Amino acid sequence: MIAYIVRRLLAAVPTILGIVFLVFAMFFIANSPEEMARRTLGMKADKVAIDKWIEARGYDLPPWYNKHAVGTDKITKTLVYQKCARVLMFDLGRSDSHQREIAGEIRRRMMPSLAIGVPTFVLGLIVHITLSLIVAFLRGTYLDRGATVLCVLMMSVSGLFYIIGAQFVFAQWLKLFPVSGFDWGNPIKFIFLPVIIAVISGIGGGVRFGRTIMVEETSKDYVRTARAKGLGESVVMFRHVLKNASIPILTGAVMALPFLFMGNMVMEAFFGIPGLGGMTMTAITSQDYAVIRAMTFIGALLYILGLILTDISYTIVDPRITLGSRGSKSLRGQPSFKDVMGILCVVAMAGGAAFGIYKAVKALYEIDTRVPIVSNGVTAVSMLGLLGFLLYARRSELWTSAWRQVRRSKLAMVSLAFLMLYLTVGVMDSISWKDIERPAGNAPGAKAAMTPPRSILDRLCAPLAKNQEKTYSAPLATTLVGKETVEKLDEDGKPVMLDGQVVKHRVFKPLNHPGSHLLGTDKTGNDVVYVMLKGVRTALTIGGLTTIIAVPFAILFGVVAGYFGGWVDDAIVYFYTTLRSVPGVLLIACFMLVFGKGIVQLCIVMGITGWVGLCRLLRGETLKLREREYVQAARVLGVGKMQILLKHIVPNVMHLVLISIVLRFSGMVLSEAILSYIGIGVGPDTFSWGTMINGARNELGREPVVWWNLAAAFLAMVALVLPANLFADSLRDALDPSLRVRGAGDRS
Amino acid sequence: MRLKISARQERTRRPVMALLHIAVMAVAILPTGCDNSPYPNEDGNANAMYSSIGGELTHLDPALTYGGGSDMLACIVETPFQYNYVDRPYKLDPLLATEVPKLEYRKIEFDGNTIEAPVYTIRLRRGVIYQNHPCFVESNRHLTDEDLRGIKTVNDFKKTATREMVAADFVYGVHRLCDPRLEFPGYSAFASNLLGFPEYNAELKKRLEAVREKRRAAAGPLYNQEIDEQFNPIKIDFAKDSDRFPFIREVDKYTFEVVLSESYPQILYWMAFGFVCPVPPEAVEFYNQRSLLELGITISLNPVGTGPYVLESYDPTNQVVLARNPNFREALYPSLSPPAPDADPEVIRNYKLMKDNGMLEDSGKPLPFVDRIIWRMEKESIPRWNKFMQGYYDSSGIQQDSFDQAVSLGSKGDLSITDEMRDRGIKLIKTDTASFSYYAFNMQDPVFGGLDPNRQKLRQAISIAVDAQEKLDIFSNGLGTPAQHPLPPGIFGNEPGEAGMNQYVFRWDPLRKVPIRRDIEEAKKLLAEVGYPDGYGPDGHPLVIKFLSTAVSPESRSQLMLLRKQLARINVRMETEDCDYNVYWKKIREGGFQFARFGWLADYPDPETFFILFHTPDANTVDAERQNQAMYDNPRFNKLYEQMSRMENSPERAVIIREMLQTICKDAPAVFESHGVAIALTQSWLHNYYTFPLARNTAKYLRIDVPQRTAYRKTYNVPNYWPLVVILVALLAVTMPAVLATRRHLRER
Repeated sequence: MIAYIVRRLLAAVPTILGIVFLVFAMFFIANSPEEMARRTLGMKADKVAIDKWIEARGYDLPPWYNKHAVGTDKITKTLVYQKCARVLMFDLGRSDSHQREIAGEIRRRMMPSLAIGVPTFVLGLIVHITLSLIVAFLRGTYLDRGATVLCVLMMSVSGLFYIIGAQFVFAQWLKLFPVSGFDWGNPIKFIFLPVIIAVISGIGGGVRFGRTIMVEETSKDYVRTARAKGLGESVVMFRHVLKNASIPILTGAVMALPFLFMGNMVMEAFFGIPGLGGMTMTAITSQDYAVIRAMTFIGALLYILGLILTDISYTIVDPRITLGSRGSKSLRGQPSFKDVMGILCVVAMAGGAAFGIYKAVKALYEIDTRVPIVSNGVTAVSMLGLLGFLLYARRSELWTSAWRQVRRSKLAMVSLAFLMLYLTVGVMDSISWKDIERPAGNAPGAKAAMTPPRSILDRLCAPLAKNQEKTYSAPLATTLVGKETVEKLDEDGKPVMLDGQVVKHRVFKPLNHPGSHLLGTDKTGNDVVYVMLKGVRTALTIGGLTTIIAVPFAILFGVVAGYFGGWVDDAIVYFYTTLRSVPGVLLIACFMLVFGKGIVQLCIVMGITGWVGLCRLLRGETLKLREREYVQAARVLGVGKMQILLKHIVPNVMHLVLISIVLRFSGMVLSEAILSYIGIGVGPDTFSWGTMINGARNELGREPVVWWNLAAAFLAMVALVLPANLFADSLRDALDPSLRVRGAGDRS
Repeated sequence: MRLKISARQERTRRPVMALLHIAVMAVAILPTGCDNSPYPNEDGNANAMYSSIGGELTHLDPALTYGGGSDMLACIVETPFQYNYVDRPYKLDPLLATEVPKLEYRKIEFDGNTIEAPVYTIRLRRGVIYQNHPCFVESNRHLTDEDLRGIKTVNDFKKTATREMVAADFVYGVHRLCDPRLEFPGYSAFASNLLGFPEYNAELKKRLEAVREKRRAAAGPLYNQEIDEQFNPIKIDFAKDSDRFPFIREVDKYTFEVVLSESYPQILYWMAFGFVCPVPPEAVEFYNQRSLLELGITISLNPVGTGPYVLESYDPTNQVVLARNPNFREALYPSLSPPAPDADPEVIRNYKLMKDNGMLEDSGKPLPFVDRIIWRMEKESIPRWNKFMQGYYDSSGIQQDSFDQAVSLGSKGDLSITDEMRDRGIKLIKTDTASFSYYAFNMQDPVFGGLDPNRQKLRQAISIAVDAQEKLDIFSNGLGTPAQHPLPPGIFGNEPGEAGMNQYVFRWDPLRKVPIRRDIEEAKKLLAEVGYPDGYGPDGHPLVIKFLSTAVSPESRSQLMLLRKQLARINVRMETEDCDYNVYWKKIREGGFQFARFGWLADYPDPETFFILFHTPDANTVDAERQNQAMYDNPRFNKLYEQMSRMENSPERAVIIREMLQTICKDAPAVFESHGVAIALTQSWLHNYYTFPLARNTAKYLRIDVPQRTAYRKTYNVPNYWPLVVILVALLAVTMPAVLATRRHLRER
């Protein structure tokens, strides 16, 4: 094990180097020093001030290679050397925007972040594990179902709302805690609310996940044996199940330890905590490269530390797991050259295919036809894909028997119906074509004037879309929400005069279409039901596309890394460590800059940043699985390595994949809201639930409260995520071979 | 068997009892530790003012501060002039000077020529002393490691001293603005108007380079200039050779003169800004010591001044605290004499306003009133508003969403406070801000740009369709004034009534006596006239305009939707081009856009600062950053601008401005949107508050009635415990069945 740790620490060096260079490259692709200066100095700054700014911070050098210098200066008198080399020697430098020492700032701001992070972590872990155990224990009863529903509901609520809600309830209404701020004199009253909110907002996802793990463990043979031997339930739970179910939980928990220093950005902004999270967020929005570089460096160090700690804790908890490649190494076999080439070929082909698709799509986008090629084409392809899968499934024994089992559960069928409904709405919104407004005139080369493309949903909902008001109005109301100053009119419709001036008064202005808006209207007068329906497509696209991009990569890399170990493991860990250490927001911003803003780009980049979590999870699970007897037996029998991976390892991790997909789905939709909060997200022309939630922040503070936007988005999201979770549960139960063997009655 | 069960039950009962004990204790502790005050308990009755800042402070160096932090800096450091707090229209009063100087002309030698240059001679008050500061003690300017034991901030130094302010300090301060290492924001304004300023800057650059070369040669190839200069900054002797650069000169101990290259009356406003202030050379010498720089103590964190407050503590991420300066001289609250009945109606109106708002009650009393001022960092608007309502902030702006809660409009359209607010004693103050928002066309664009009459009409049509009043109604509760042209009300050149109306976009309503925006039908007619009937061009294609935006917030998205809606009324299609901040500015600078929105806030109350937005300067003027985003280049307009920009306010100037406005309204290089209004809410215990965006040193006039505030806080912040108890009971009720079910399951196994 010592050798393993030493090897990992040594491997950390090129990782850090890679990260620092990656951040540098990305940052300077996205910006130039002039733009950074302008960001800080403001719009009114002139060229002289900008030049001074650049010179004072040493940015007046060429980024990669200095043509004009002599000798070694060609390399050393460049931005890359000056900026990166310093940080590698732990000299974090000064912030670009306010010229204060970064190291000192970090020291000062670390403690408030820790003051919140540590209690959250400890409390959160205790709560999650306890609740998961209880729920898993009560599996199948009404309490379990109720808990599942509650968890999904809690997950469907954006973290922003827990914050605003708690601030409203505890600080404003009950006046028990300060709304925001921080003071070392009396820290408890300032950290109480943030800690409670952080724990509560994490319960939904944490318990759901923990429950899945626990349930899977309780169905194992040794548990049945223990119960048969007469051991009490609490002993079974705490001494047997907990330890074995703990690997995936540990993956998350230990990983989080080093990041307690870094702080939670949104929480710190809202509660005015002067911590590191707030500093990082400010640095990203104001493009303070020095701080971003320093924080990425620290973050990378912490991340690597976390990874090593996680791996060590694996061995402590599960004696079957050996780090390094000892143990069944000879049996598992090292990846041969052919295997590695095979994997690389697959990746290269996928990359090439993606690039080709991108170029083709871009070209097709430009073509101006009556029926937009791209959106309709993608819809058609997805539908065909789905059809193809269904046809395949009909012939597969696994899926037909799973379907039979799922059909028996009424709850699952209702959930499926909901999902079908959403899918239908999404598809209807994706098929669109243009109308001809004016036929082509007689002028040579004149084309017919066409409207922008309208989808089937648009056409069906045309009356909803057309009924626009001026601004907010309540559901089924007849007037606008707020009062407006209008002239007082007498019976003839002429304005009433007083002292030579027109008399005005405040009235509730009547609507253009009173009583027709089921869920009211939003700020610019659009019907909320219409906006909600338009948001379905956005949500499905974001969730679906991101998952399609992220999951295959995660499975491929996670399983390969976990199974082979050795240098393959190191390489993949290096890859995802580097990727993960870069602040996600920075990566997204860079990507958007190069490829432009839009849903597709957002999905691609969220997919690229999102696969790491699942990959690490699968790697951990594979570490466990590769020591199983049936895997060793298969090797002895001479089954090829790829076959083992595909036929034995992957199906046994599918339950994790499935639950992860479903958990991520709601997370994707919600993170779209947070990304919009920071300033990256779908464009202003696209309707999305995340935008509605984001806007609702201010709407809740209005008098009278404008709640219908938030309610609509919440309803729509829950009605999608809850059935998805329930259906995925049933499907997973149906696909799990150990569950299927037993009869319906025996649940222990 | 039974024995076993009860033993197990015993084991489970013990932890349950323990938890119960903890819960009871927690509930008992809560009342004592719980309250929602964000301030330390001792601060409850202090004569302090609490305010919030939205963004992080970066520095308080007078040469660098512009925008963020200028409020705080103005409390610490004083300038020769200040705006009179109660008198309107805006006028400058002497502050450190004895009077506001008149323009004189004198023969000045410069660069081998003799020029008849405009000169301002500034005479200073005598007997003004600085705050107590360690820099004035000789030994502190040569610190040893022994001296630095236990020193973490400037306030830790035991030995401090002070001295009188003299003219040489001003000269030093202005010379320092020329330091090439400082990013002085007003550089181009000073360089183009002060005689010899850019040349002095070049001279200093030469001197710095010479020293750097020497250092580099001495240190060898591994010399890192940045690190070296960080802790061992190059000292510049500003006085050396400064006679060659006449822009500022010491005449005698209490007098200095400022020499301009051309007449520029606005320079006096620049001198009220904060850049021109007395900087003791001892301070710069003190702060340039290596040992202090290593500790992170710089002039930026602790400026030295003569003002009513000193910096007590500065945690830029959390709060800034100012304390009363014991050395502050006697300064009195300004008085305003009642105007004669035949005086200017503006003056009479202003006097009445000041009197009614209680602004004249403290006339003649010594300043400042408040002992400490505390600015807290508050990034989010919702917590800020909540804390204001709870009495923890003394003043606040209003966001649009809380508007109806706070404000109501009376029968004549005047603003007043709602009943809920009035019961709490909160007051409302509204002032026009010297601001201007507009949607600029790219005048070089092939479709929408150009000065010929057809394009003028096209742009006028679009101007009619973009209804500013509608936008103000939806997004600002109707507050603000739709703009006729770039000049806001209150600025010289803005004429109210029909004379100042933009006749191409508005028409005069004789009944209501206000300009009314023209109808959509007229806009459609204009479009048809220039070849776009119903919004379709000659080749059958619809008229499409691309709007460049960085819209990210829900607010800006809604605004875009409204704009699209308005343009759709005249059948013009709007496409949004959405991009990142940096790409956005690049496109604007290079002219790669068709239509984009801008806002502008004046630095000083002169029309020149608004017309500069539409002026194209000569090719051989100083390379200032172009503010003319619309790239509007009308030779007649440019010529008139050059004429009027350096004039003092006079009837001749008004004539020129009138013609400029006529030209720009006809050309319509932008849709002139609106002029803003600043609204502030203040608590009942805060006296003498008035929104005054141009002046920054107004904190010294404010007075707090502390007992009143303590009483309010007590009344409105009574902790409510009973809902908590209800919640706990509800939680227990819900979890009870779960616990019982678990025990049942356990027993069944």
